[in-house]
Amino acid sequence: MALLEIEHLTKEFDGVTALQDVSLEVREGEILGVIGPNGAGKTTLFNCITGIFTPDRGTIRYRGEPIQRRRPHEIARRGIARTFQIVRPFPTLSLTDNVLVAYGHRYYPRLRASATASRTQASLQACRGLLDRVGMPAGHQRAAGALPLGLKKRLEIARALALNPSLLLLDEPSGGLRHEESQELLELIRRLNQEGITIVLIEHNMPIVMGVCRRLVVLDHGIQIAEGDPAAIQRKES
Amino acid sequence: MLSGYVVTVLITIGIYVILALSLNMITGYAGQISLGHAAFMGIGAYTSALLYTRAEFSFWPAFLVAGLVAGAVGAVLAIPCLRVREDFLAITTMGINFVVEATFLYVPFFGAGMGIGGINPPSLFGSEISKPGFLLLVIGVIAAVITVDRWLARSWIGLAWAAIREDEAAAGTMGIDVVRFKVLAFTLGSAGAGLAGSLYAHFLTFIMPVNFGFGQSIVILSMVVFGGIGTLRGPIVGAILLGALPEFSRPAMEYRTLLYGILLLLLMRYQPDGILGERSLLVRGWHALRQQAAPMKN
Amino acid sequence: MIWQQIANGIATGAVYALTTLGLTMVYGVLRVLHVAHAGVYALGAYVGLWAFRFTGNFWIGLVVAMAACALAGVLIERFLYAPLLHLPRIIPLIASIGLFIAMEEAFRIVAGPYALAYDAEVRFGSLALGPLRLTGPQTLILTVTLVLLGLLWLLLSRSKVGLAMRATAMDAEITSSFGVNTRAIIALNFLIGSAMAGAAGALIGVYDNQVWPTMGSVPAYKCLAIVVLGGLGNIPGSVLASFLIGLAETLLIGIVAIPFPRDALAFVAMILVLMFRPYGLLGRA
Ligand SMILES: Nc1ncnc2c1ncn2[C@@H]1O[C@H](COP(=O)(O)OP(=O)(O)O)[C@@H](O)[C@H]1O
Ligand SMILES: [Mg+2]
Repeated sequence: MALLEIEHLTKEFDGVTALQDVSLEVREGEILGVIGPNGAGKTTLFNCITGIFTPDRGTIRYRGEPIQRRRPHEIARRGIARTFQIVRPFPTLSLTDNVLVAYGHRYYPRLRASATASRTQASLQACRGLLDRVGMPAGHQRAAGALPLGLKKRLEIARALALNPSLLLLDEPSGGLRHEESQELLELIRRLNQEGITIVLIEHNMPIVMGVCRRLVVLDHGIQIAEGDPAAIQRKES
Repeated sequence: MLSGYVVTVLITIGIYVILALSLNMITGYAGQISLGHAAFMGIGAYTSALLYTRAEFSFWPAFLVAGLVAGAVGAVLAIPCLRVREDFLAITTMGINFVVEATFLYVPFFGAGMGIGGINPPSLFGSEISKPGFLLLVIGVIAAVITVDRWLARSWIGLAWAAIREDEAAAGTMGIDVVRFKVLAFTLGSAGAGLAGSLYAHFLTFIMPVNFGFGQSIVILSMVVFGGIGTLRGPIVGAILLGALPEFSRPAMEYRTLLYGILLLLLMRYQPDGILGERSLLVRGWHALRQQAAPMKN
Repeated sequence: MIWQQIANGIATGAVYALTTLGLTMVYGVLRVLHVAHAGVYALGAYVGLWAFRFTGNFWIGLVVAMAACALAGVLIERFLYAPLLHLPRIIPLIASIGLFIAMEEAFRIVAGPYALAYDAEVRFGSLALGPLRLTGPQTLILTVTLVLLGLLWLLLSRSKVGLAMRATAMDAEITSSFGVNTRAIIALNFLIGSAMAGAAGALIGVYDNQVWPTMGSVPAYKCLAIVVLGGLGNIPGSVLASFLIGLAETLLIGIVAIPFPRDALAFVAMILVLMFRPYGLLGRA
């Protein structure tokens, strides 16, 4: 069984069809690439999966359970984490606090635990570990809003990892980064995948896509125009 | 010792400190602008006054029930507030304040325009507590509120509120049930206002709807913003300074309100973080001083 | 009886429309809850009254009031809001409340705490539409409102400047990238909106035959409710909501005689509507 199954997904905004009858599946352990021009509906796809938008039609099943009507926090708690195309760390919180926010997902469901569980030591250690894991340089007490873009993107990944996800959705992680930064990112994505996290990657940078994805989905104007092996798709495109 | 007049002023300021701290939970920590905090103070005051004058409750249980009722109403009224955001939320809370005030003013059960009188100060061991005793009570409640405040700020609840304040949608994708934590902020903040309202009623011994109008909400909010929203020290200092302002500006009685308006305006223009907020002149100066002093210690 | 109430409701709605227009225009371009707009409205009444006393002509008073308020609006935008726009919404809101308090106090100190009579004898024909009879002052208010609304509509829909104004309200950043001077457009929004509020103040001063320092207090908050009801920043929505609230107030209070304060009605209506349409009657996300 696939980890995530999407069937006939449709989402419209005031007459603009952002996604039209999209069906795809994400298999356990893979890195699936999603490509397509601007406005193709890629980000909307992530927003539907993570519960930010409710789809107009269609189903999204995660480990067999329909989640298309669930709210964002319920989906996050089931192990689906994401980053944002336009980065949105919590700007006045420190880097550690940014990661801690996500680490707290294990306490939020119970009010008692949210009020009484300690926020120190063990969890702090874990969050520092995550920041190191994504290659964040020292200075974890800085406010996140002041970071350069590349580090904000890493912070978002660290934050997503704190949810202990099985499925990680990355929305154009290399957008706006320099070449070396993209290369490091590529390595990080590979490493995370080897550690057992299934990844869906929206990406414009074709070398990265070709470097890590075994399977691709191509969207255009909300329609899924191709799916399959990257080499075959590249041949068809050109 | 302290003259009766000074004690009276200190009690009033103390009640404002409780109000400012409780509003700070909603607006400062959880980031939900509320222009209707006085409504919950009023709900607490009326609950306490009615229980005391009609149901023969003594002050202490009436005080606690006032907090509970205000908190419960806060939770219920948070629900319409959840549908709307930012500016719509601000105006909705303002509307709630007008509607609550109108209810006190027009429903005979609440004493209508006459308000409720004959609310005595609390008794302890059979005798009514003195004014300095009342001041101690207020200080005790402030200490309790500060304890809860620190507790929350250090808990996962405080972190969840901070995340919601900074970015609601991102907070949701981090596993935070945004609705639940917002309702929690409104509930706790309103309960604090209810306790303050009960103290206010038993201190003044009579209450009128106008005490809990929109103007009062603005006074409370100004205190929070004036001191430094989202910090602990800010609302306390804001309540003390703005609460004491009428006493200090007595010589300029005629121009008092004018000065108040101009003060708010100038502060927002030149120190938008309040006098003790993180980016205020004073706090930055203090950090700079400490950094200069640090190498000397080594 | 009911027709007379309807006439009163229309006149009230017209004044609300004039006052809320400025608020909604300002919100449209700056996203600021401009509480001090009601101070500008009261300023219009005072200036109108003084100019009328000085010249003996109501119309000159009206024009001078509009001009003074337009100037006040531009100054408020330039010196108060412009530097605060990048800050959290609550900052300009509190600043605006501070300015409003200061303005009311300034009126009291300068002109005294009591209501002043504004007995401009405006000769204006009454109007009868079937059973609906508008008195002279009511016809005056409705006529001035409709003329100003018509002019605004022409400006917005038929002129280049109007196009720039609408574009700026939609997205100031993109609009300025097309070479439009959005700073000037924002100032123009304040200018027009404040002039309208000035006209509303002068008209209501004559209609009620009094001008007093806190005459803006109720409009300050009620107009916010109306603007939100219509859909913040939405001009037709705010005109619609103004007339609806004007009529609802006079009819419900005057005829049904429900024991509810007239001034809280706008808020009840607003809260009920927001439950079903979180962005107001004609507003959008
Ligand atoms: N919140 C929204 N409201 C209205 N339209 C939207 C919204 N989000 C996306 N769209 C529209 O949906 C289409 C797809 O957008 P998006 O998913 O962001 O594309 P991509 O990520 O592939 O560039 C675009 O036409 C966009 O304008
Ligand atoms: Mg996108």
